[in-house]
Amino acid sequence: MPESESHIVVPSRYELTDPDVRLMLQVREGNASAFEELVSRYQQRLISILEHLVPGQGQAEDLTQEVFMRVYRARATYKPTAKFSTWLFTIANNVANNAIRKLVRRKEIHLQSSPSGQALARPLDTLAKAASGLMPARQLARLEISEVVKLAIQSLSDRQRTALLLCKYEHMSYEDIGQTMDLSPQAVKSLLSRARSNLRDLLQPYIHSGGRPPGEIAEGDMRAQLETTRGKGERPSDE
Amino acid sequence: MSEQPRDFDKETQPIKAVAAEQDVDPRDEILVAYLDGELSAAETERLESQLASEAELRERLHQLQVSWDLLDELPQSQPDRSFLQSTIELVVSSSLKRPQPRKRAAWVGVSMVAIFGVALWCAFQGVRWNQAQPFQQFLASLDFLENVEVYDELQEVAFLEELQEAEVFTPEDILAYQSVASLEDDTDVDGLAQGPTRFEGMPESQVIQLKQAWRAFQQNPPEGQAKLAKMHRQIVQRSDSEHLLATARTYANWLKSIPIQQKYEIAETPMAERVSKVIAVRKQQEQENFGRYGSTRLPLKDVVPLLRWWTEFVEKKQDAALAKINELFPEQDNPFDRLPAERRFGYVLTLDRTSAFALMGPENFQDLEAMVSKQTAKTLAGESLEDQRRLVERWLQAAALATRQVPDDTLWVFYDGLSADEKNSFDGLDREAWRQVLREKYLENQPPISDEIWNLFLNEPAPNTSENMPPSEAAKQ
Repeated sequence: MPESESHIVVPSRYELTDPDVRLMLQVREGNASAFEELVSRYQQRLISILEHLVPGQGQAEDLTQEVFMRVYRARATYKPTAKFSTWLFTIANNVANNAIRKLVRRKEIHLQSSPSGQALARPLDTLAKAASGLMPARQLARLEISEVVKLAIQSLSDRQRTALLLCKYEHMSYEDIGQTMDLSPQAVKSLLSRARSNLRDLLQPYIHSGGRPPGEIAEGDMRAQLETTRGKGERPSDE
Repeated sequence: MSEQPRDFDKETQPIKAVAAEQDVDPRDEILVAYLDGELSAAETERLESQLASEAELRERLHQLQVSWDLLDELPQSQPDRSFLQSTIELVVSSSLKRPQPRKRAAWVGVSMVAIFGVALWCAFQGVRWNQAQPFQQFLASLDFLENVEVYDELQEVAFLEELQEAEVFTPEDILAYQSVASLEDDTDVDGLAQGPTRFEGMPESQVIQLKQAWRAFQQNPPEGQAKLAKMHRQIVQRSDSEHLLATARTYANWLKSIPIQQKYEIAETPMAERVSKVIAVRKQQEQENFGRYGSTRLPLKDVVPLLRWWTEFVEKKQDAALAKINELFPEQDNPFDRLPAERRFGYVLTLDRTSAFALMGPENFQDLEAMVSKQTAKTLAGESLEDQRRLVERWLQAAALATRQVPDDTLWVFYDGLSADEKNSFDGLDREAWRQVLREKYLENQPPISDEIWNLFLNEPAPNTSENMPPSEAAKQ
């Protein structure tokens, strides 16, 4: 029954089952400490996801703050129509998408300005970087397993990565991921299977019994593997 | 094995249909859903019976599971202790925003002074920032905080006045810097008064810088805060405050580009002689920017010949570079095939420096010796092959750095000449990205090989520095 048509407030099923929804309802009533509690509960979880979704030093923390800012702004109109975490990560997904769009825009400008017949700036840039140690060289030939996994995740498409992270770290059901990403559960199922197949292919050397143990994969191999998986240097499509 | 998947497909037809449309291996989709506990009881039972009889399917499941478990290797970030507090402050202060009609710039100066007056009065009085609303203070002091680092470098307004008077930085430098650094031009009174409006409109990097500045400022003792606040008040109350601030920012930015030793020397120089010292360091910096390697230095007149040699060398070696890349990346279609020759070589250098330098033989250095001055040729000839390679590498690095040092006035003139669409594409960028991207765009349009460009960096002769040129001439660069 819509609340506007009745004086009796019927708690939603989410209010009954999800303590964070109850906290958010307290925030709606102006309870600041409830908000602080929510921030405290979710800040690390958001940062963990956002740092893989949007590259850049310190970006995840800034975006996490932006997510909470949006939550607080939306408090007056908040209605518990989903689990709190689903609602929160929907906002986070939007915030991340906006940030990625900005980055892509910036990258496009870089690409537009990249040389087609330019003589010197690029190789010299590369040369300077290589010499300065900013670029990988022989001494950086071997990567730690966590870096390899990170590279593998980064090579997934944005949507695959988002679905994967929500599934892995938030233990979300397909339905919740679908709600967060505005997809049907079936689409999530399909998206996740592609994400995990890609991940398996990328991490193949670590999976095979008798394969090289962690820490012994050369970066060149990893790159080559990524390129093979990506085809012509593109990220795996999620369409 | 061939029959069983067929049965499996038949039993899961609806799923298979979707999978086929999207080019997903149907077995993976089912296995992933199984691992995620998303299969129905009937589907689970069906799959488990298949797993019991199909070793390949079990291996597939195992691989998916292990790769999934590898995600546990990723380190988990922990926010620092202050994160919760700063988040709450940010959120609460943002909620104070009230929609108000925009007013225009005529009031900006007056309002700025009024707002800063309040903030600065607190600092002058040594009043502790109100613990309940520190972030509001922060927001009200944005313009102060944008410059607080700069004030810290300057120490005295008199020094800034002298810098401006001596025109150490050209008007074009300052103009270019302002175009990306300044927020004043389009600041509305309400946005300023409310703080959060401006705060939210800023690029993330700038917000981070401001937060850092805020924290750093708070760590100052009261007298330190008061001193910086006083400088700000003295500057913003002047009629030429914008110009002064721009000079100050340009100076602070320049300081970041010089070696720490020189920075220290400047700081140690008495105020009365400091501007002269800055001028001397600037000149020295320009002279030393090129070609230094240990005690050997590439004469400036040889920079352009060196770059011409490099172009020719890269052209000659492109096939060898490609062969090396193919060796490093043995796939049929490696991404480097599509790169222009000079970039291929760059990648070889990046990925396998030993091999790349092996491509530089004595004959290549003989070519170079023939192109450069006798003195440089002699220097080069006196070294072993290995040292020749290192020497040339360092010379090229110096030239590469110079390539990126297109002066701001040149950039600004270039920006001015862009179409509205192109300008729009730059305007969303933060300061550093703006400079970097514009510089790349400029270099793309004006290959750095041209003598005119290199003359900008050469100290002898230096007839065409922008200080000595009318704006129309500077614009041609």
